[in-house]
Amino acid sequence: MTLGALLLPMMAMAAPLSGTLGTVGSDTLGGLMTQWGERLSARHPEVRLQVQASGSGTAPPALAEGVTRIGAMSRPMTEAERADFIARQGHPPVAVPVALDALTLFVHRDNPLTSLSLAQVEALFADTRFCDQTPAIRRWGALGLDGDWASRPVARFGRNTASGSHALFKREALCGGNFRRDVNELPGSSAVVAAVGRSREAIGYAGLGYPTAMVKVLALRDDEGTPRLPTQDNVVSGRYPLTRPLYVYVNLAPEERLPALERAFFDLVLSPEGQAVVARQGFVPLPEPRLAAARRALRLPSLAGVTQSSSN
Amino acid sequence: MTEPSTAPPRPNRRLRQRLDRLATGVIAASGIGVVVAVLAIGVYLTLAVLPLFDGAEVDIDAAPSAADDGAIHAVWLADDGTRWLTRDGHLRDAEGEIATLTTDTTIASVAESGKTQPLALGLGNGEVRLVPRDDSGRLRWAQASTMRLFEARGVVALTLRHAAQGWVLAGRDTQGKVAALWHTGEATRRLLVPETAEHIALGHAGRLAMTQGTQLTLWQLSPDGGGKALARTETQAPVTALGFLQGGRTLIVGDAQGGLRRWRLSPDATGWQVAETSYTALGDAAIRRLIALPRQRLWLALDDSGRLGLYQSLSGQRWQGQAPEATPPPAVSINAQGTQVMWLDATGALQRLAIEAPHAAVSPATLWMPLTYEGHSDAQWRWAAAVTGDEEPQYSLVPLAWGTLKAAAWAMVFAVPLALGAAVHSACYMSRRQRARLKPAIELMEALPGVVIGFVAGLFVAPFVERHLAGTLALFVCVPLGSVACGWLWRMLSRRWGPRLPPISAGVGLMVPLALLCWAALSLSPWLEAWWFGGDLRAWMHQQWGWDYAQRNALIVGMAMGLAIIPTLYSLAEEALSGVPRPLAEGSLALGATRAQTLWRVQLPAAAPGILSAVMIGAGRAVGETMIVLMVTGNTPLMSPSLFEGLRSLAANLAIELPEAAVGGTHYRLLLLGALLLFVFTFVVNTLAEMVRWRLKRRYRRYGGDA
Repeated sequence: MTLGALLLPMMAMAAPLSGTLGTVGSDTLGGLMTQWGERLSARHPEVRLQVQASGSGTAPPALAEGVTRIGAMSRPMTEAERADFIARQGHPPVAVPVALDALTLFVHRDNPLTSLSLAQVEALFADTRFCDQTPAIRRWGALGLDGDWASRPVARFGRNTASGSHALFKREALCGGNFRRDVNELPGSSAVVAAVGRSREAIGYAGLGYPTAMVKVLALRDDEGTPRLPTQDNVVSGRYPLTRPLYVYVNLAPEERLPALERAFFDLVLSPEGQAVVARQGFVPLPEPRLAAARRALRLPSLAGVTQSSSN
Repeated sequence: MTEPSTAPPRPNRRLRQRLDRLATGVIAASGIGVVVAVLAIGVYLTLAVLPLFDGAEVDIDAAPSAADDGAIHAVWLADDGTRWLTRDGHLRDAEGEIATLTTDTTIASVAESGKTQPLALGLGNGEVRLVPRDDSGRLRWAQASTMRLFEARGVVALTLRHAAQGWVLAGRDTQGKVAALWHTGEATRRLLVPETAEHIALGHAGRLAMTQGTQLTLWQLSPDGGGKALARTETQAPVTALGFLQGGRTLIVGDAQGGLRRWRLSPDATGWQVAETSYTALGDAAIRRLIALPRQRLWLALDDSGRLGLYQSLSGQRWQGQAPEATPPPAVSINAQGTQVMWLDATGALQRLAIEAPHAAVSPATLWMPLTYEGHSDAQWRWAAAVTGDEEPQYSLVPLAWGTLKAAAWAMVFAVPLALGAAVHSACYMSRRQRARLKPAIELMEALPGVVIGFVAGLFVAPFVERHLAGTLALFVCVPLGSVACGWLWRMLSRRWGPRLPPISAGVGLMVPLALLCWAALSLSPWLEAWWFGGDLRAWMHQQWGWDYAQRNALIVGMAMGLAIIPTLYSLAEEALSGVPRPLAEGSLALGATRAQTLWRVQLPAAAPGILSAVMIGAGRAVGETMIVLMVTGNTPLMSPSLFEGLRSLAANLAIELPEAAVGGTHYRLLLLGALLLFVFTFVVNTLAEMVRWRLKRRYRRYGGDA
C-alpha cells in the first residue's frame, strides 16, 4: 500500500496524464466542480474537466446512457433512476460523497423569529400534511410573533423544481407532500436570498453558503426541541435536520479499477486540497472518517500515504 | 428612338439582369425559408407531442426470451412446487437452490416491494422467509432468514412495504387472522391485529387496509409493535380485491360487481379520512386480483371472466383485453421499470405481459380537469412535476394557461391606454418635426432586453411597490386624472393669457406638474393609508376582501411587460393612424368639425382595424414573453384572477423546467405541448392581425392614401 502510494506520483511523472473528463449534473455542485477542474489542471496540465451543470436530474440519464462516467448530484438517485442505470449498465453506480450541504431557512433580518420546528416548516410550505397535522400557517402571529408582526402575512420563497434543493426540501421537510402553490419559485439560491432580504414578511429556503447581511438564518428544532443552527458541527453530526451529502456518481463496475483520469479527479476531490475548496465555496467538508471511507471505496491510497509521499 | 451608339454595352446589361434575377431568387428563397422554418418548428413540436396521446398497449407473449428478461428476479408458484426466475431468465426447478430455503413446507404466498427491499415468502407452516437483496437488487438466497408470523397455520396472503429504516410486512392465515412484522435496523417486532380479514394491503408508513365483506378498516401499525384502528367505513359491494398504488397513499378496492374504486387516505384536522374519489368498472364479474406497477401509478385489474384492464390512478382506464389463463389467480412478478409482468398460471405456463404505456399519466382529463390528488381533500387544478420519483405527478395545463393569459391581460390593461394615447397624440396632434423625434425614441425602447426589464422589475420595483403599495395605487389614480386636469387648466390659461405663457408645447409643459403629482402621491400616501386603511393597506385588503398580497404579482408583471410591449403597440397603431388618408381628415375639418370630432368620427374609425391588429400583435408578444414573467412573477401556479397574486406562465414554465426534464419523458413532452400551445396561439393571432392590416392598407389605397 505505501509502496503503491510512493510509486504513484513517480508513475504520473513518467507518463503525464492527459485528456478531457466530462461531467454532467447538479448546478449546486457546478461551482465546486469548476474549481476542482482548475486544480486538476494545475496538478496535471494536460487534463481538463468539462463541467455541464444543468441540474441533478440530468446526471442519471447521462450516466445510464454512457454519455459520461461522472455525474454530480445534490440528491441521491431515486430508486427508478438507479434501476434504469442497472438495467443499462449491469451494475449499480457508485455514489461518492464529496461534501456536505444543508438547507437553510431564513427570514428578513428585522424578523424577530429565531427558530422553527419541522412541523411548522411543513405547515408553512405544504398543501399536504404528510409529516404532521399542524394547521396551515398564514400569519406570522401563528409562529408566536406579537405586535405588528402578528397580523402580517407570510410570503414564501424557494428554489425552482429543477434543483436538488427543491427535491430534498420536498422529501425531507414535506415528507414527499406537495408545496403550496403560492411558494415563489426562483431560479438560483442567491435570487431566493435577495428576494427574502428585500421583503420583511418573507421566509425562504436555499442551500448553505448564500446568506447575506440582509437575511437571518433560522435554527431548526430537533426532536427534543433544541434549536440547531446549520453550523459546521451540527451539519457534520447530523443534529441539524435538513442535511444532505453532495454526491459525485461514477460508473464503476464492482471488479473494475478507476481509470487514470477519474482516479486523478477523485484523488484531488477527496484530498485536503479538494476539501479546502468545499469550505471556501460555503459548503461543509466531509469529516475525516467519511473521507477515508470514500477513498477506501474507490481504492484510492489512504490520505496519510498521500501526504507522506507529497512531502518526499 | 434609341441611339445605338450611346446604348450601354451588352455584357454590362446582361450582368445587371443576371444580378437582378439572382437577387429576386435569393429574396424569394429567404422568404420561403422563413416560412419553412416556422412550419418546421410547428411540425417538430407536433411530432414531439403526439406520442403523449398514443394509447397504452399490453402485449401478451407466451414465450419470454431469456435475453429480454435480464432485469427480472422473480419467484413463481405453481401447483407442482416452487419455481423461480434468475437474472439470466432461466426458470429453474425447486430441487436446486430452493433446497437451501425450506424443504419441509410449501410456499403459500409471495410479496415484494420494489427491488431494494427483501423478498418475502409466506410458508405453509406459519413462518415467513425473507430473502435479502444486494446493492444491485440481486436476491441473496444464501442469506435468507426465517421469522414466525403465525403459530401453525399457513401464511396465505402477504403484503410488504418499505418503511422508516426498514420494512413492514403483514400476513393473513387460513382463518383470516392478521399479523404484522415491523423491521427497523436490528429489531423486528410482531403485532397481532385483533380482527379478521379477507383481504389485506399495506400502505405508506405502516398503514394497513383490511376488508371483511363490505367493511373496510384502516389500521396504523407502529414500529414498537403497537397499532390502532384509524378509520372504519363501508364499501358499496363486497370487496374481492385490494391493493395500494405506488407510494402507498391511494387504495384501490375491487368489488364483487366488477367495480373499481380509488380511495384517498388523508389526515385532516379531525383525524384520518378515508374517502372514495372515483369509480370505474371493468366488467360485471367480480374483481379477482389487483396488481400495482412500480411506476406512474399504473395498475392491472383482473376479473373472474378473464378480463384484464390497465389503469392509471388519475387518467383511468388505459387498456382492456383478455388475460391469459388465470384460474386460479396467477403468480406474478414485475420488473423494476414496471414494463414487464411475468405471469405464471396454475398449469405452469409462463406468460409475459409487455406493458407499453410510457405516457399513461396524461389524458384530456388530467390536463384540463380539476382532480383530487393524493393528500388533498378537494379537486384542484395543479401543476407540479414529479421531482423525487415517488410522488403523484400533477400535470394540469390549466394553471399555466391561466397564468399566461392573466399576465398578458394585465400587461394589455397597462400598455393599451398608454400606447394608444401616445399614438393618437403623435399621429394627430404633433407637428411633423416633433413626431420625427418622438417616434424613434419610443421605438428604441423595444431594444431594451426582457432580462433587463425583468431584473429591474423583480429586484427593485417589486419590493418598492410592496413597501409603497398605497402610493403606487394612488399614482394609478392621480396620473391620469392629473393629466386631464392639467390639460383643462392649460386650455383655460392659454385662453386667458395666451400670448404671455412660455412658448412650450403642451406635452412638455405637462412634465413638471406630472412629476409634482407623482411626488405628492408617493409622499402623501402613508398619511392616506393611516387615515383610511388603518395604517396598512395590505392588512386592510385582507380583512375587507380576503385578498392576499404577494410581492411578485400580476401588478408588477403588468407594468414590466406593459413597458415591453408599448413600443410594438405604439409603432403599429401610430402607423395605422398616420396612414389614414389626409383628404378624409381635411374634408372633415373643412366641413366644420372640431379636431376631437374628426378624431373620434373619422380618423379612429378609419384606423380601427389597424389599431385592432396592433393590439393583437401586442397580445401575441405578451403571451410569448418569457424572461420578464420568469423573473417578476415568482412562478406560482395559482388560479386566482387577483392583481396582487402571482402566476406561472407557459413560457416561463418551459424555461424553468425543460433543462431538468428527461428527454422523451412525459414531463418533457408536456412542456413541449405547452410550447406548441404558445406557438399556435401566437401564430393564429399574428396571422389574423396581418390579414387585418393588409385589408386596411387596401382600403386606404382606395381613399387615395399613400400607405
